[in-house]
Amino acid sequence: MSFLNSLVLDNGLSALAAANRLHICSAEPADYAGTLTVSLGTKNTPTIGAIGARTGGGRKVTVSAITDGAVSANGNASHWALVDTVNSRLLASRVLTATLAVNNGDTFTLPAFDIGIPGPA
Amino acid sequence: MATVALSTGSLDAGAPDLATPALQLIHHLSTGNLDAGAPDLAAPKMVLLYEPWPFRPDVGASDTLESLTEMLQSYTKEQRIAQRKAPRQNPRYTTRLDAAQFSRAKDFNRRRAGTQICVPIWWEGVRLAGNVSAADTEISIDTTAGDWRVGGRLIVWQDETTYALSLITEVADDHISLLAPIGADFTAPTVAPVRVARPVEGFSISRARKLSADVTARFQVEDNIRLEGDAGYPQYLSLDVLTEPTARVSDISENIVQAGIYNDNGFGLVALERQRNYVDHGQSIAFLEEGAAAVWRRRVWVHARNGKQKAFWLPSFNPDLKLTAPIGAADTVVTVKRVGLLAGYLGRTIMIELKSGTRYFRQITDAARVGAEDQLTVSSALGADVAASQILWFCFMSKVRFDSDAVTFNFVASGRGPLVATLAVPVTEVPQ
Repeated sequence: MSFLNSLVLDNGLSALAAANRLHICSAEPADYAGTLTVSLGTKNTPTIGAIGARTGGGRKVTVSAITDGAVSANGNASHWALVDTVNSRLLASRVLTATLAVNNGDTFTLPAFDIGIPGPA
Repeated sequence: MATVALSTGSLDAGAPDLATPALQLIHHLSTGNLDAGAPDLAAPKMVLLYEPWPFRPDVGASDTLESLTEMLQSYTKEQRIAQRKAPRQNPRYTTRLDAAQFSRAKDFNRRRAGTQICVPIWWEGVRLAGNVSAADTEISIDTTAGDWRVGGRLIVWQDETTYALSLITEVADDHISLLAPIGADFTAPTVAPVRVARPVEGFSISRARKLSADVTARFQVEDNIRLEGDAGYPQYLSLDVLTEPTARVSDISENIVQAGIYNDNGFGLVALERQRNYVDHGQSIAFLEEGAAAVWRRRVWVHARNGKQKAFWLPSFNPDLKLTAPIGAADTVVTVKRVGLLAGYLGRTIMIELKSGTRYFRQITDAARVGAEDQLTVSSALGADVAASQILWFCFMSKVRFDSDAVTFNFVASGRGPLVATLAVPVTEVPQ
């Protein structure tokens, strides 16, 4: 499952520009409060690229690679979540490729990845 | 009576009058919804840089490579099956810590005992003469004597509080590229590859000293791989020939026993039921390696042994045979001083090593007594004239394998001086 806030669906990918923190989570969050509950680590101010064409049609933004995310709790990280801490919004979330055990004090890295909205079929 | 004929006329209705209605078509058109596709969110692959054990061992360090070999032994032969694709690496570090370091270490121990952590492989590390800057994404080091891997991790370490981990994206002989800038400035740091491991036995602490504590841990590495490479030994019959005499860094012993069941009823003769038709000849070999390149070469060679599986030739490095007449280039008969019974020569392999470094490996195919000497027929001519005065070693070789799946490298000086490693391995002769 994946989650994309209605704000993004209503206003388009430009709404993701408000994302200022990426969490790794032990479960898929449903909202901002839930994200904080399942968060195992964070990367502040992840770089969200400009909106561009998506391969296969549609539009996308790219979240730049993260090399120094800080793990702050012990658990099994299975999801990522992009949030807007100013407005307390969960903007997007999805599963990670694999679930990994993490411990407080570790550093996490993620490759660059896309969030896209395909065009009509 | 008159007959009256009656007839009835036809009763015809009029022509049917069917209306001609007008046909009117009504077009009902509908539009499908225009839906964009489902949002497409990626599922990236997370890689962790586990919290490292940052204390560099300065008291003692060792590294045990553990293979797993299943032995199937019969009366005449044995079959050896390697059960692991790569040996498990088990570095063991002892670090002497002052009070502040000890406090930090205990905090680490309590949080991380049993969890995955990053363990620097110090003896593969390189101490830089220069500095590393925060913006650097490339570090110039010699990578030829260490297990540097693309996708692996490294540590840039100045001291136990000043270090950084990074992922490796490219490895060349003279430099390493990082996934991102290292993020901090370092003065003459050590750059070492890092393995993911668990302190499976926890941490043991000795506080025998007043002002310091020794913390020891064994780390079981999880990202093990088989090291590829060639240690550069000459080969005979497709097996390496070990060309260095054993180093005297441990007890050098040999034993020759007959495997069997000794039936002793306590009051009569002790009967032997032989389990094999050959004797078990156990030996111990040892190495003293100086410098990173030599240690790396030995590690590659130990990996290639695959525990007990892969055999090699071990010269006795004892002057077993004494040449009594020069050997001609085309000779296949070699005259030597008598050693024992003729049967003892047959099938044995020999090494003739000249003082010049040239080595010949041959098999004895026949033997005959001539006066007080023995004439040995070897499998082929040497191709060069050899006189007794040229010979450094003229000895038998045994086809042996490791008699242990665990091989431990002991690092005598793993700190800031030249790298020195010793290892001692039991070996046993295998039937040819």
